[in-house]
Amino acid sequence: MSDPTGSSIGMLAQVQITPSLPTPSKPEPQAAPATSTGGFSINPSLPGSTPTQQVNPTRTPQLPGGSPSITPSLPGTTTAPTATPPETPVVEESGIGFSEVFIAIIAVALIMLFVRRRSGRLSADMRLTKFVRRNGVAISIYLLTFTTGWIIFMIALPQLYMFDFSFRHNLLPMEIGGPKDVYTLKNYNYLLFGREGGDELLNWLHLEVFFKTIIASVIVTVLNFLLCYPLAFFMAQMVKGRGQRLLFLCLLLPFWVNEILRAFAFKLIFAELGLVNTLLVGLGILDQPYDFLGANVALYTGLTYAYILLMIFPLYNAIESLDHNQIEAARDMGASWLKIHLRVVMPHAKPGIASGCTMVFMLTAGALAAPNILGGPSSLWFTQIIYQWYNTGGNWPQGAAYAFVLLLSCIIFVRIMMRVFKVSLGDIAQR
Amino acid sequence: MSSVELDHITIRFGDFVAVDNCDLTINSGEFFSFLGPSGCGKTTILRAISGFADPTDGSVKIGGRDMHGIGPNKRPTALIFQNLALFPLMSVADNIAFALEVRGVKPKERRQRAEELLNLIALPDQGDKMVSELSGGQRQRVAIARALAVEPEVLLLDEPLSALDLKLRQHMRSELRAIQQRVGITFIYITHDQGEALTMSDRIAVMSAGIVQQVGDGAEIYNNPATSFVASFVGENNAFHGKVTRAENGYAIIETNFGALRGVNRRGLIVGDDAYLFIRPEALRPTENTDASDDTSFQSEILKEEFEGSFLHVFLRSENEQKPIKMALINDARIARHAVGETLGMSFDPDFAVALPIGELADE
Repeated sequence: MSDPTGSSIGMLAQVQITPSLPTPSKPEPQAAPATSTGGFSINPSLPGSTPTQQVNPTRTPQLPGGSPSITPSLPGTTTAPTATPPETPVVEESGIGFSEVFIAIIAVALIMLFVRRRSGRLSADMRLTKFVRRNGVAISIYLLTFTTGWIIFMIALPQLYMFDFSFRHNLLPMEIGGPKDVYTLKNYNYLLFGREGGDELLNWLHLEVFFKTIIASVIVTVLNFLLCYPLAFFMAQMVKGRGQRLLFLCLLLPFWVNEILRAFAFKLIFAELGLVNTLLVGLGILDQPYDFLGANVALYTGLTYAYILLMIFPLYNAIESLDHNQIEAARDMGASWLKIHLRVVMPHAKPGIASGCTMVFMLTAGALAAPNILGGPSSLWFTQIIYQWYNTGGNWPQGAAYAFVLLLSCIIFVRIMMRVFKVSLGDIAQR
Repeated sequence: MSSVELDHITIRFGDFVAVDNCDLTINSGEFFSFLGPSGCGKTTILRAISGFADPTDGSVKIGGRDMHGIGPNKRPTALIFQNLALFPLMSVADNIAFALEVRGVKPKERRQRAEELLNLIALPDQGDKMVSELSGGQRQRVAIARALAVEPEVLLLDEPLSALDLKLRQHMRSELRAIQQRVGITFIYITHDQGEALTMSDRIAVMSAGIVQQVGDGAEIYNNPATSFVASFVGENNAFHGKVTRAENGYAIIETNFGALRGVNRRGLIVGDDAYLFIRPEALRPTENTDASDDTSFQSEILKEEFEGSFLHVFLRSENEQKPIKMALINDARIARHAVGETLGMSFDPDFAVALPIGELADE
């Protein structure tokens, strides 16, 4: 899989998935989101979200009952979930919905049937290419349709659409296509400089969140690597057979539990009266419960654990292909364990390390559920701001611009890291 | 330089006995080979000497020092792996100098030492190449240089020539022997190829099923095998099964399907013992007069002849369909060819025939 696109899908997917959160807290009456500061709600104030902010053109689904615990409140946003906005033609235009995919699959099936029936002449023509000769006509058509369809409809079009969106004004539905509908850089400007005519030179609040997100993602990635490398090495080189299968199962099974549930479980464990605090206080290590949630310990733990498999498996694959004799040879020549890993195992596993770190970094930077649930009151993940622009802020172009800044920065960062560690893109896609 | 002493070592893996009470001493500066079919425990012995495996019983002593609890990195040994295990991501020089690198030797000194070793293995100025750019024989030599870089007292080689083609293998035999004589350290060599063992070694230990069957130099093992396994595994041999009818003056007379035959009796066979008589193909000569009372000749039917240039191989009917009697005749201008189906008389020198107690035969 090529990383940038893959992770951006992951990011977008999460952005879309999260609104359909089951509400874990007691159903509250349709409270104005601005008042909900209880519990662990994040309450960031977006500078410059002006009271004049226009009504959400509402392509975003709203939950009945709302979700007070995760709804960030934007002071000054006049939008309320109760406001029923007018349907816009954009809805049909924007989504590659389930029905389209369904139709595409049917179409492919029909084409394949058709090809089967009249395979004579058609296949005679197609058999000229080596690819078709090797795979047969039906399978070739399936493969080509599927991969091109995947690339165009699942990756290229949605991203291009969002890219286009990020250069537009946030207009009322009736204004779309009108004279006001022109391209602009103001969405990108906003991230850097804030509201036009604002007092601050730069949009420090958002920029700070942005850099904190990147740095925190790096930390999470490094933590993840430090945790997974010994385990991957152990599984790849030290245990065989039954023990190995058992370990794999232990790693995989927890991921059958869905992400939200896992995140909330972490929240419970790290809560003021949670397992960890009870244990530490009980053992006398702490005098009084420590605010793990506030200190973001829970957030980092949750994020690290969330993508552990994406680190373990590339590492495992890479280390597993190392000839065990090389380790023994190095040992025989007097190398310490550290030296063996630095000089023999890690150079060999470099593609796997790069692949795992890229995946984890991209997905962590684009994570939404874990920061939403586990983040301390003072912390904000950049994706949460994006989510707010889309959802509460009702400003899709602004959200798209932010999302693209994040995506591009992550890609650039990863490419720089790859250059530093002398890894090529081909190495990463190798496994 | 150190001697290696295997003091009654036994190595078990669960119920499986890989090495059974092996007790021998390898002298300092010796080229010593362990020869045996795969699975006979020879590699396990090597791993015990290098420190990758621990003997269940007994102890390994190198230079008189008990090696128990001393890891492979702390032993004065260097191991060359069957697949060489060179580091593919390092240059040739880095490979050779790896052991120095982990000991904290300065890069300049490392480079110098690598160059010296490259000269020793006749690959000067190849240090900057990657391992993948070398041929099989060159890699072989790099592996040796890498092992020698730490100046080990004992060099352990685990079938290092098995991946090479025949011609290169034969060339590397003399090369290895020459390197050993140049550096003068103890070489312990593991092989299933008797040609390698016989040509290179000062002494050989023949192993089967975890048991050391015989230790001796090449000629001793070939001419005076101690067990039926050694007799049948080292070189080619014709085995005749029978009962001992007489034992006198250091000879045993064995009643076989081909009549009574005489051989040297070094293992103290007595009348009534089940025994094998081993006669080498090159010990057999065609003869005109075969007498029933003569215990140094017999007759059999010719099955086929193979002409090989320097030798003529004649195959004759034996008690075992699978293993005909084999006679090897040196080709001279007057050599006589025989017709298939003809009955041929053969005689042998009883001093070249060996009578041994019945036991395991090596399958070819």
